[in-house]
Amino acid sequence: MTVGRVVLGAIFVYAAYTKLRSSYLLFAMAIDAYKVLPEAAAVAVARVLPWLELALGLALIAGVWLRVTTTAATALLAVFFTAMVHAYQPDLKEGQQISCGCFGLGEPISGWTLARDGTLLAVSLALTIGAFWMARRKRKSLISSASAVPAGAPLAEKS
Amino acid sequence: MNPIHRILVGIVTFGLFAGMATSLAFGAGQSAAHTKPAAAAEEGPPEKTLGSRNAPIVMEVFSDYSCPMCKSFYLGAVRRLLESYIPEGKVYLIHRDFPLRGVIGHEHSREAANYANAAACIGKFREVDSALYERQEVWTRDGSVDATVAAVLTPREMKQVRALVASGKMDSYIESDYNLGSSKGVRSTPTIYITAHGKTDVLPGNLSYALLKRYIDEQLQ
Repeated sequence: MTVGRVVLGAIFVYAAYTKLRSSYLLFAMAIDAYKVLPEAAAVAVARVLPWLELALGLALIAGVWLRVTTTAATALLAVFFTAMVHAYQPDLKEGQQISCGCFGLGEPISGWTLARDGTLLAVSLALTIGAFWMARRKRKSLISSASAVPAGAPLAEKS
Repeated sequence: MNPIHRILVGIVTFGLFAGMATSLAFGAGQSAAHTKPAAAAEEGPPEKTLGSRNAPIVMEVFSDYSCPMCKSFYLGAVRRLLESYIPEGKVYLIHRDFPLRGVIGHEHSREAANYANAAACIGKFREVDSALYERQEVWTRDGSVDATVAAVLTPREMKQVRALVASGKMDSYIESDYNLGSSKGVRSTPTIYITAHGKTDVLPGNLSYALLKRYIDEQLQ
């Protein structure tokens, strides 16, 4: 679980870095190329998304608010993957192949990028399930510990 | 979290930030060494370009004259760049031929590229480039590349172009462009490389001119 979230977090941080090192307008053009958002929305997403990825990545690495961060990561990856599947056109030569945009520009959507992002989505989903399961187990453990001590029972005396 | 996991997290985090810092420092060094106008791309025949070589922004476009999206890019972006940024010496556009092979509807791509290169040799690239895109639907269907080009050139110019095409010399320019594109990973058209401040990025072919304009303005600041 720890290795998975650290690796996923590192990938998110790297993805954010590849976008933040260039003008946000390049990423906006990549988003706009999918033709699923109005141009203004593409610009807004281009400004915000890399910072969100960075925050999610760092939170995953640090292991804080795991249920929230893994859920957010899974939701984000699900949106990316759906958009990529929708835009994927195998063997397209005529007309621009849409850039994945995942780690900067210049990487067209291909079977490889779909497999890669699909794997990340699966890992993120597993981490999300794991985070909720662990939280539930911890809660049960706390309840069990509390019920093992009868109410009003005297504490053990110090010797 | 047990100590081993803490060490693992620490190593990954350190490695990430060290890598990014190194990349940023190296990138900044490269940018600093390239403050003069961008000239990242090699050139084919010298006239197959639009604008001033000293322009701070260079756009290198790998294109197929039969490609509808290349036409959209030309009409939607290049035409508008020709109205302002290119004549003002802010953008330098280099056309590279990348005639797609084995694609239905692109049987006359190479012939069109031949004529465009020949026109470039006599200083008439811009006119022929424009004509080929404007009448794309016609000549891709009936093969009337020669007639399309003849409509925008004088008889004397057309005679020169036909002689150059017949000589077979234009093929070497086209192959040179094609091989350059292949070496860069070009697989579809249009593929657009934009270089500014020593850094090269790839633009999507179906880009919005409004966003391109904003990006160019940002880079020119």
